[in-house]
Amino acid sequence: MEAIMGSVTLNNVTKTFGQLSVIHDVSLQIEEGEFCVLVGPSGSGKSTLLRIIAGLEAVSSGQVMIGGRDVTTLPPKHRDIAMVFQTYALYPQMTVRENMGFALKLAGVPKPEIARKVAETAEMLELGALLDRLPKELSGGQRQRVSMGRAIVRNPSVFLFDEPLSNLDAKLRSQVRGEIADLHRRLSTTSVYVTHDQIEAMTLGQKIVVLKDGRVEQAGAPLELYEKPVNTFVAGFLGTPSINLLRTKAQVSEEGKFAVFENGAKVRLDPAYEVGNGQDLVYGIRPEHVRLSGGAEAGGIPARVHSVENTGSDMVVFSDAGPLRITAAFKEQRNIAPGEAITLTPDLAKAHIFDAATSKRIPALS
Amino acid sequence: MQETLTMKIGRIVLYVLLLLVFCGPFWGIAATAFNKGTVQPGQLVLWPQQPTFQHFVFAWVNVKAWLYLFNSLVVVIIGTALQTTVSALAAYALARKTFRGAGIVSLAILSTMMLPDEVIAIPLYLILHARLPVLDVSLYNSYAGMILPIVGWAFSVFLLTEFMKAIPRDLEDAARVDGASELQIFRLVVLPLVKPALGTTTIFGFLMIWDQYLLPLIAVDNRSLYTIPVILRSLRVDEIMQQNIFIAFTVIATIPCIVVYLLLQRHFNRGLMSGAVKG
Repeated sequence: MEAIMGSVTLNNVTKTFGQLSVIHDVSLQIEEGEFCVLVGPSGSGKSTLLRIIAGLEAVSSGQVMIGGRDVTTLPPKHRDIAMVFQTYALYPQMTVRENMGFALKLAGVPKPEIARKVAETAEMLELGALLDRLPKELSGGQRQRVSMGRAIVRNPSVFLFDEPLSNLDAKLRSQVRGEIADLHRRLSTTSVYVTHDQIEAMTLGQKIVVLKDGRVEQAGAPLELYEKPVNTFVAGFLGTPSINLLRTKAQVSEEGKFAVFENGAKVRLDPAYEVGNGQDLVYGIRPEHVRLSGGAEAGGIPARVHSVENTGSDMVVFSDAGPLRITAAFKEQRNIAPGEAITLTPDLAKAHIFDAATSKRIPALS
Repeated sequence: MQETLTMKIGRIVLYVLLLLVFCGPFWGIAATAFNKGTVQPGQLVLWPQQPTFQHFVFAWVNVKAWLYLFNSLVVVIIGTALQTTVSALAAYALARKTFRGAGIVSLAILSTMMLPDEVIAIPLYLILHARLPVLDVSLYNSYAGMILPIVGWAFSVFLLTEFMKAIPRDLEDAARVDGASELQIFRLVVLPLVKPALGTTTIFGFLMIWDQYLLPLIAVDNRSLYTIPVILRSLRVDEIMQQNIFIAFTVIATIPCIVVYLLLQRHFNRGLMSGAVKG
């Protein structure tokens, strides 16, 4: 199935509902064939942004372009997009076949062609046996596949996904996530995907856009965001278990640069960081970048194990170091019990340093 | 609980009594209509003596039951069709569209439910007798005069509004993305989903219009445009009208209602049920 691709461009888009401003001056470029994930907590404006791209919400100001065409004032049907909804939004009175062919029927496509396209898409999604069933006779996963089929059959320039997996159970979610990734590989259609689940964002997205309060916090490749978050929000939002964000003060002396924690512990900072003596910082270190050793160790943070979570493949240790709560994650199994005294040593090269006043990342000079 | 013989007999007796209470009058009317001999006003027979169709034939041909039945059917069919269409469109607007004054419109429609027919009888009479502006026609002595005033019915508007509010908005958005116009969304997505409610409002609307007495009485003076309820009243006080013929006439008049009920019974029961639990 040949796909016509289209880029999506948002230029200074804002959206207000009465006095309430929900999208603030968002500009975004999604390339042809790219899989872009909009991620953020509830109320961050990600679904509104998707509905703006779809044409289901009008912008208050700004411009929306699809495939180089200004579609800002065009209704959804003239935007050449297809959308998959969180609630599936299948027409309950229509069979799977009718649901999938509805858009083509409205577009006046001849019946034999509709039948051919529906059959082709059904085969691709393994829905062939379900074509004459009503949505109520399908399981959640099957409904979601029909909903995707309804989008695919139209061969649009852009797919829009609005939290399509959030109504599925954990196992099915992972399976359908794989199917979506596979479909994108096969069709290479530009896709915009909204989720609040950072695992979905990291695994599906070629580009991730992190939104907060209607503003883009950071946009980029998944690993770029993970490894170089621009602020504490992005650092905290991506990654499971969450990054440790510890308040600290910079100490600059002839011996080098250090981070001095509230409990008095001191760890070395990469000298490349531009920090001033006494500057308030937030020291970010991901749990998997914390080394753990029993007893006292120079350059580490002494702590006491609070609790241990063991999933079999991963081990997460939560520990208290005075007022600090530090999480460490390991792939290998260790014999650690709550109450045990340990030393946590952050990996110097993997630390993220943020200005405590602005929450912004302090760049390291290379 | 195991049913004892006494309980079983008690149950059957109860059913028979109920059957007599509900069906007895109908039986009495039907038996009298078929009875050859004349009965006195207010009298019913329990078993027809020398059963005959002659009263029906007389009512149909000489009293022109066919004409009044035709009038009633014209009013009820066009009226129900218009009423259902207008109610569904109004309900969709109230359930889904945001417009200035929506609350006032809603309240205005609701307020019409509070007014008894007798209260609006005189204003309605004046309107029906006046010549309409622009068109310069009068609705008096016309089918339109009996139909137009009942086209807007608050009950069916509100019932349909509640049903339409329960339809997920995502479905309409999905249809919008699929390329449907607003009218197509209404016709192809919304209407099929409120079918049980449409069935209910259609039947209630049909019965409401069929039973209209005051409106046709005000709207029509010409006897050839009388509907069944109006002519029944007129025949009731007609001293030369034989009781058997009058009763045969009433039997003919009930047939359309029975037919409609039997045809739409399934919708009727389901509509009542789904109205109760909204969904």
